[in-house]
Amino acid sequence: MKNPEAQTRQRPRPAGPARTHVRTRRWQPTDRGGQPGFLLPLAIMGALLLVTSNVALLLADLQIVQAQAVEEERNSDNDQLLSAAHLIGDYIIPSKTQFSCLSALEFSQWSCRVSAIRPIVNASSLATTVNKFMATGDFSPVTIKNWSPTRSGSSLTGGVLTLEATDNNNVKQQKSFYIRFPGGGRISTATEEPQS
Amino acid sequence: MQLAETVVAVSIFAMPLTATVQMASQRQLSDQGQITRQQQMSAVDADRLALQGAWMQVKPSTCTMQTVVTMKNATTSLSAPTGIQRQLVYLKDGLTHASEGQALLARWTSSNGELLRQRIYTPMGVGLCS
Repeated sequence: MKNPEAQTRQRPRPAGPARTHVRTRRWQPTDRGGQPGFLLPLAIMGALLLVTSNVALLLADLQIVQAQAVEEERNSDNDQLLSAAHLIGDYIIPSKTQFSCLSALEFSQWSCRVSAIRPIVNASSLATTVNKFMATGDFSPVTIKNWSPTRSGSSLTGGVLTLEATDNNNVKQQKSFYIRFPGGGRISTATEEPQS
Repeated sequence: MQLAETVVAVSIFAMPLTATVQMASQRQLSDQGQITRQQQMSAVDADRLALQGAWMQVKPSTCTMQTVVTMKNATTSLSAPTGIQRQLVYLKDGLTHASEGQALLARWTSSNGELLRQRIYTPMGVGLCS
């Protein structure tokens, strides 16, 4: 079998125009067996595939970020309302502060004076005092929506406090807290960490 | 003709490919950030429970400012988890009697100062009044 390379070497090279002709022929698709227009659709398909996968990944990331943001917003709302409940519970615990007389009254009757030297207090003054604390902690103000005292016989055992807060998205959140007075005040909710 | 087609094809494919590479690198950073954030929030949750546990050990006789001081002393010895900082602040309302309305603000921040969570605690809120 003859060596084709040797044959090429032995063959005299054609003059300038002929060499150009040979080089031009090499780029013709038919010389390599490729199909004309093959690369372009392949590139478009690959690009579309990449774009689609990128969009899918972006959407997945967005969902994760949104879920985390919702979770953090919910935690923030819970912290805000529970902090306010702690403060209000601390203020209205019987025989402690100028707001103590409120604890025995239904919310619709919230206006009283605990002693001759203390001012008359109501839901608004209590909310103002509590929100001063809340502002110190960079919390948004909360609104007291309801208070229903609970009794065991003639003694006051606690009550259900309903608070409302407005979150960063201007959505109002309401939550009820069960406050128990005897044997140490306790605040708990059905959804927030139990204070046992 | 084939050269032109190759150039166009490479160009078409290169754009999303470059974007993909950039996205991959950004996602890696974003993933790391999310993992760090989740770790920080978990650390805050653990620290909140630790604080509450420490406060529950305090047995004061009344819900007064002294109770809050005792609470703070009992909890400052607890070291904050790594990666987050815990700050305990007394809250005092000047409008009320000195012994009233005392509370403790617990703030958890990341190492770069970003506020993660915050809560106000009172002696009553953690069941310390008797």
